[in-house]
Amino acid sequence: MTRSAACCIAALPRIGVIMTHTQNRTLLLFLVPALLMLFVFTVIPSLWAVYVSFTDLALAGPKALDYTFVGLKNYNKLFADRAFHNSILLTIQYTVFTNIGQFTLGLIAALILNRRKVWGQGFLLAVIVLPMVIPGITQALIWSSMLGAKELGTLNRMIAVVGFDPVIWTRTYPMLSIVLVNFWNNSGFAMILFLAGLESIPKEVLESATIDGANGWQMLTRIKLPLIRYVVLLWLLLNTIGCLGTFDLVFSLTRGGPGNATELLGIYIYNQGFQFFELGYGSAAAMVMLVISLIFAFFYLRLMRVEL
Amino acid sequence: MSTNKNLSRRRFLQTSALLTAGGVLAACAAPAAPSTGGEAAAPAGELIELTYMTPDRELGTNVKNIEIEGFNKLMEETSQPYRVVGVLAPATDNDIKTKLTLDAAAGTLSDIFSPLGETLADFVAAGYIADLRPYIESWDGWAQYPEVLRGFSFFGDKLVGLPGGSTFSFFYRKDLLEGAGIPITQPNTWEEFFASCGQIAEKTDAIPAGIPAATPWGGGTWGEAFKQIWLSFNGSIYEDGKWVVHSENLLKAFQVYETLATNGWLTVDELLSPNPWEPIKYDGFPNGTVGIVTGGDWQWTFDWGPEGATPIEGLFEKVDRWGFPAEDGKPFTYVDGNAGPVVAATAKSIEGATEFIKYIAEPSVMCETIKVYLGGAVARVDFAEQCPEYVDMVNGKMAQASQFFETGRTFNFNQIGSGKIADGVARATEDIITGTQTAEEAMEAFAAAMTDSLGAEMVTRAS
Amino acid sequence: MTVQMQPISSPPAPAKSASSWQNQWDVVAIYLFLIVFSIFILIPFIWPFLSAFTNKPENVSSLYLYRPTGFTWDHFWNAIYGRGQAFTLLRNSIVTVGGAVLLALLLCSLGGYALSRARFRFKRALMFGILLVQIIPGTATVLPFYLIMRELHLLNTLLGVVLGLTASAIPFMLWVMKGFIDTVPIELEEAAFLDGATQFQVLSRVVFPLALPGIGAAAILTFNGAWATFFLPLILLSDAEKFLMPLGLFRALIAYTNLDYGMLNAMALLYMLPSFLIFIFARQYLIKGTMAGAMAGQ
Repeated sequence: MTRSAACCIAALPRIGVIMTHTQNRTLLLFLVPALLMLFVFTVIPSLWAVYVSFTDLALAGPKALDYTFVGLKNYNKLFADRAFHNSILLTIQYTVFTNIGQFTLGLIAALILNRRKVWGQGFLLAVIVLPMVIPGITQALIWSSMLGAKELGTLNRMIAVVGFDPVIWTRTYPMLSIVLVNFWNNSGFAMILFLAGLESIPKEVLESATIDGANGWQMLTRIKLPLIRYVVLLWLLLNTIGCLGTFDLVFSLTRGGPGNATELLGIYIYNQGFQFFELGYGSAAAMVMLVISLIFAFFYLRLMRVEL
Repeated sequence: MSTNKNLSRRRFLQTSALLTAGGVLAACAAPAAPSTGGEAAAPAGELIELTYMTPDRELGTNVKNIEIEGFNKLMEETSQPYRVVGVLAPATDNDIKTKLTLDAAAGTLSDIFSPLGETLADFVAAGYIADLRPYIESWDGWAQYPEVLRGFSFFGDKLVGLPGGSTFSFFYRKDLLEGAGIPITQPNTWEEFFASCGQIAEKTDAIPAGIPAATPWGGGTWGEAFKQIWLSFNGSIYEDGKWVVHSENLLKAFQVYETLATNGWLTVDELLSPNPWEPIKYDGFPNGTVGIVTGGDWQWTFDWGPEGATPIEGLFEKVDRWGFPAEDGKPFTYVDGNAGPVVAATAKSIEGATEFIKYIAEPSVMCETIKVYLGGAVARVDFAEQCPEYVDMVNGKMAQASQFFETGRTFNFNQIGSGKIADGVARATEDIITGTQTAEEAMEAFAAAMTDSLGAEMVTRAS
Repeated sequence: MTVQMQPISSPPAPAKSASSWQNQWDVVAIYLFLIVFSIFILIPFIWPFLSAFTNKPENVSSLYLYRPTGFTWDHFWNAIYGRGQAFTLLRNSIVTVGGAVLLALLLCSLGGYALSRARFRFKRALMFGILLVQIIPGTATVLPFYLIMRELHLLNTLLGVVLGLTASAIPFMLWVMKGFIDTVPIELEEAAFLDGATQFQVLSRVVFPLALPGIGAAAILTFNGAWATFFLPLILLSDAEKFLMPLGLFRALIAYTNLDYGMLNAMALLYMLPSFLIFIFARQYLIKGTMAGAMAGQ
């Protein structure tokens, strides 16, 4: 048994099992099919995108015929591009707000569903999942209907009931609008993951905590949250990555919003690549997005360190 | 101790079962599918199959089926080796652009397809489109295409298709104006137009102008309003391969928006919400709460016709068209040309593809297809003669539009970089109508932004 | 000695520590939350239902709420038998997404197990990498992806869509699987091995049943994610009979901006059904409490 293996096993909160190398190798075979698919369909295209970010390849226009390797020129341009900086800032804002909102909502819903004592649980489960099962285009249309102009939009009709004037939501509160929509349509994701995590907590742990006199709050903060830490951090990681790259919904609603108010990274990159055909520049922007995501991911993974 | 190396029979069977189940499911999903395009041309004597791509829209698809059937039959009868097969593109313009761009870059374009106007110049410059000149200029049908439209099919020396067109103008609620005693004479200058707006605002409850502006309307701001307004002023727009991004006439175009917005004559709130055409064209205009909109021929049928989105009863009595007022006092209907279906440079047979394009433009064929779907005026000058039914369609509005091809004004805006210009214009008008910037400031910002994104070699200033 | 598997779930224990007074407040708060939340979620659905099931008065926009002039099945008729061809779309969607989820489940159960139990030097980097390859947005990687599909002759095939969907599902599923398999105590496996169980038996009798909530969650989420995928089928498919539902929704587009919202919403509602049903079906795997001790091994 190698020293590193011993350290890893010693760090784990369980009795170590001696894994021989033979067994290891067979296990790794299990991993091959998944990794192979990943390699062919995801890794290779990504590597190509990295390469393109150093060129001025265009999808159409004269540059499509002969493109050249331009080194860091795209990156220099990005560095000076204020629209790009704005994009990054907005995307981070969007990600933070969304995460906070969805975490709270998902956690509360999961806790409720975990209790098994309340009427209407099935209803809650169905309801929270509902927005997730409608296609993205429909989501966009539904919210276009909600956020419509003047008295026509549903949201305006609602606030009119309590006496407010109609608001141009996507104009006056663009960030709020898209955060709200994302909050509505994806909290279910958090809830499902948290619920699965809560359900995995062995009953005995909860019972012994109860016997020891833990009240609801202590139960939550001292027992449950730490035990579902892996799931929460995983969710945070995935959701952050998703938010950083979000495109469909925001584009359909605001197309980048009044001016640049909601021009998130995903939209910026799409515009570069498909509106303006500048694939090289768009790829460079995508690389920067990758780096930002790496930073977040690294941060989360350090928190998850023990579990690995 | 470990026994995992034993491949028990049960394990083998169960794993196989799982794999098979997954495989069968996947296989059920995969009919034998030949890849489209890119194959080498078949040797002479064999059939050459050409793919024709159109958007997944019902009426268009119906037309396509008629065309393909007729063409293939004709090919059989005349013993020619070309056959056409239909292929679907997505339904919305944005998605079509994505698919076409991707196909083009990967070399898998369908042999014949309908391009998007704003991308065509870039596609031609990238070498994706075939030159059809040898096959068209010698064709007698070519003489039937009005001069004004021909330019839309030319890119430098390349002729890429048989042009089509539609006409754009203001559409206004005649009954609304008449009911309030406002004269309905064609405004010849912008001052007269503003006067009409003022009267509408004063004497009716309607907002005078629901004109596309700002970014939520997408390409419509450029395509259905700004181009035409820019053209109405004297001065250059695009010359020697450069866009004129700073000029007197451009400023005046921006000022039109400024005037409308500051006087409260523009539907600003609606323009800033998602899908702005909904409250403006499909609610405000039919209900008479918006007085004037812009648009093209298709609106008679698809927006306000009996089968349209929001039918207006008594459409032809209530709605009429005004040309765009012009600085020189000569109002005009704007003629928007397009190159029609084009042929990919990678097509298996450019001659065969051109045969198809010529076929679907034949008056006899079009006379049939317009009964299924008539989206706009027909370009060919001899069409009204050869197909008498056309004259009466849509209350004669289409035939009237055809005549505008001769008398209207046009300009080929589909140059390289038009996408960026369109984007810049949308942002600039948004700043103006929200009062964030004045027209001068907006133009300064526009010029700077375009210089940045297009590069100094593609822009120029005239003032 | 046979392995005695204790069912992890047991009938709910009464909360001994809460006083009944505090309990009541809890319940009230919960109900309040349920009501407010349900309203929040459900209000946006009024429009699609209204639009799909009713006729609208003539000169009002169909994107907003309106006073219906009557109930109708017309929109659904158009969607299914008319130009919508919804059943073909649904069939294609179910087959491709279902196939992709099954394939991903297969690959990732094994892969997740391997990641959980195997020890090797670069494991952390690998886990990291698996997740991060997905970050680069599709719009930047679509061209090489498309070229690869072309080389594999998978353009315009449903199989290509299945493989593409599976590849996108893998990173997330691997992580979830690994995470939940991690929670299965290795002593149980140890004991099973000692009793002479084969690797396969250990997997099917010990590990996977206990990781079931995770598998359920992964399956549902992957299904939902893939179900809504628009971009991948958009670029790959060009035959009408192969289109998936999200693409086909836009058959409601008549011309330019004229969308037949009635038909669109009818199709969207039809589209929701399978996803919803799958969720109901898989729900039992998600909440262990609803499974009555089905994990005893013997």
